[in-house]
Amino acid sequence: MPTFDILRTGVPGLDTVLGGGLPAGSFNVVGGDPGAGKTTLAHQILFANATEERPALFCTLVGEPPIKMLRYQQQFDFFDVERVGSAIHYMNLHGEVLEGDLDGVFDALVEEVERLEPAFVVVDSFRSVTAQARLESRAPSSRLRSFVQRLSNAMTRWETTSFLLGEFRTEETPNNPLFTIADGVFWLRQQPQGDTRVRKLTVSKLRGAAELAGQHVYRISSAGLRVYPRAFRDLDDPVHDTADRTRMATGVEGLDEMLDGGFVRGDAVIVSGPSGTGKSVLGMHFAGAGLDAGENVVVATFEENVDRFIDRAALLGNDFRSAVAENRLSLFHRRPLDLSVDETFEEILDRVDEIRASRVVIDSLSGLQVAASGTEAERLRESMGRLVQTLTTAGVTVMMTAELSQQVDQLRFTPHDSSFLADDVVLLRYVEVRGRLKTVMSVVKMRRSAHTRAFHHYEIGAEGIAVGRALENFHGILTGVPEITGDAEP
Amino acid sequence: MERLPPDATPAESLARDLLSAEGYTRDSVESVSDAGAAVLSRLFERLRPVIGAGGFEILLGRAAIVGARVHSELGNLPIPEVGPPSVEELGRVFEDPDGASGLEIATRLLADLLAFLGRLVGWGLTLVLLREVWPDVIASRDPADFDDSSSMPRYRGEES
Repeated sequence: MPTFDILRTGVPGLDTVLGGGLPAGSFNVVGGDPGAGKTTLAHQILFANATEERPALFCTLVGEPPIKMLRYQQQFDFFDVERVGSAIHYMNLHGEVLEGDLDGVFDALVEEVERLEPAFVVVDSFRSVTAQARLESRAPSSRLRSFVQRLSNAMTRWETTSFLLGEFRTEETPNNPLFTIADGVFWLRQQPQGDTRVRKLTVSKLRGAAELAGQHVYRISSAGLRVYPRAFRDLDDPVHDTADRTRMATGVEGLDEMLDGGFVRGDAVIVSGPSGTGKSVLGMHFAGAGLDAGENVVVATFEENVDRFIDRAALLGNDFRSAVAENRLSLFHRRPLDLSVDETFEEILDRVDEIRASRVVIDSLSGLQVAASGTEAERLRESMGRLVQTLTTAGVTVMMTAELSQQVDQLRFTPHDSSFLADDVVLLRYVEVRGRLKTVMSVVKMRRSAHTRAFHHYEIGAEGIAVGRALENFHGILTGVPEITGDAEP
Repeated sequence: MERLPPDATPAESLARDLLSAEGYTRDSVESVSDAGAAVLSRLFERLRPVIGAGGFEILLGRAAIVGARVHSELGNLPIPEVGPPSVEELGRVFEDPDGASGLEIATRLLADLLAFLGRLVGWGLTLVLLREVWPDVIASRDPADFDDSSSMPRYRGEES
């Protein structure tokens, strides 16, 4: 059985989408919207792979002026000018295309390939060839098929991995022989999402490999493209054995007793309740308790910025600023703007890997829902599931706060149908007692442990949350206006 | 060779050295156009694969326009769609009974062309491209020697 080499593309996340990498010698089409990053993607792959011994040929036809392309591509970190002319070679066939000479284009390109024997070839933009075929022939499809077939054969002869870039649309796929002949078809799209846009990459065809189906978010920065695959991935180095049932202290006086000693290591916890009930404070306690126990912690906040979070935690006695400086606490904030859910969750995983965190606090799921734009919000549920599974499988304990409006006619303990995420649920609520607003908490669920069933009063004071006694003499607490059946009052 | 003024730019210095490398001698007026044509021809052959014939036309056309503000003769330089002007066409612009003036015009044209190229694609890439044609002339030069304003900006897109 023949085997073939797999090329690492050098584009973070893309090899995962490709099932490991790109088959060497493949003939690929990269289609997509203007400005989606096709040229940048091609350059990034070339600069990651081409050498003097295995050079790359980048052929420009009609499209962006090459001199501008060079200017813009140099903005990226991967572009090494010293390798131009040695590892990366350019050629321009603008004139041949404008003259309407497809055979001339083919001959010039093949002549250069035979001279240089490149391991990689990029043609940008191939769509101009498609247009020219239509002009030249009464049977443009046949003309184009012949051209593409000859080109594919030539590339195969020299075992070249090639990329034909163009502003193709998926509607063209059935009528364009290019997509039949190609081994791989990549799509880069910029999809409007409300007032913003999200970039997504799709691999609709890949001979010789098992690509990851679906649309994968990608971003373009000075480092080039980075793809965020929609896939479960394992943490690089799991923190703890998943069979470890150690208890994780919450840092909240009285709560550990309610939990029969604390949360079980590797559990996913949701802390839900109305605004002002102390969800974020509980998250701070949990993070602080981890740091006090010598653990490393990741905190992702979607509501407060980092400085405010640190300042508030300091009031509770937590020195998060020092922990950040010591690289024991990885704390980041994402504003409710154009947020990519997959990208954010990938960042959480990266940070967990980076500091080998054993606890993650996400504050809050509700803030994340607000921040996720358009259809990203619809994917949030699925993506959260993937994130939680990856973390808990590796033994990381995850605490997620969630805003839950307090209703008496509907008994819900978690918002957004997120209960499936949680091994453990802690519910915070308001009650009115003799004209005063009080706060009570209960442990609704613990999948792997016994727990108290009682409601406990708690206070949020200068040093944070302190849990009081069980409200055994109260009836109808969930109504928000309980009856006091005895003398006791929280 | 006629000396450059003390405030000559690095691009002007480079242009003068390229003319010298292609055989310009102080004593020969005709050698201005011959050397100038040789520089432009070799430059075109090196740049065409990278920036296309159209790209070279952009550079040359702009250099002639900008240079004409200093040397009006450059306003008469024909700019072909493909490739550099002929030796004869350059000769009509460069040649002057006073050979030094022709040298100044040639230097101005080449310096502006190179400066524009450096500004567009950066002096790092410009020198890499030129080094393949004139290794000895470029060997002692560093991109940092040229105008800092031509350094390439970093991508400021979707940094998260």
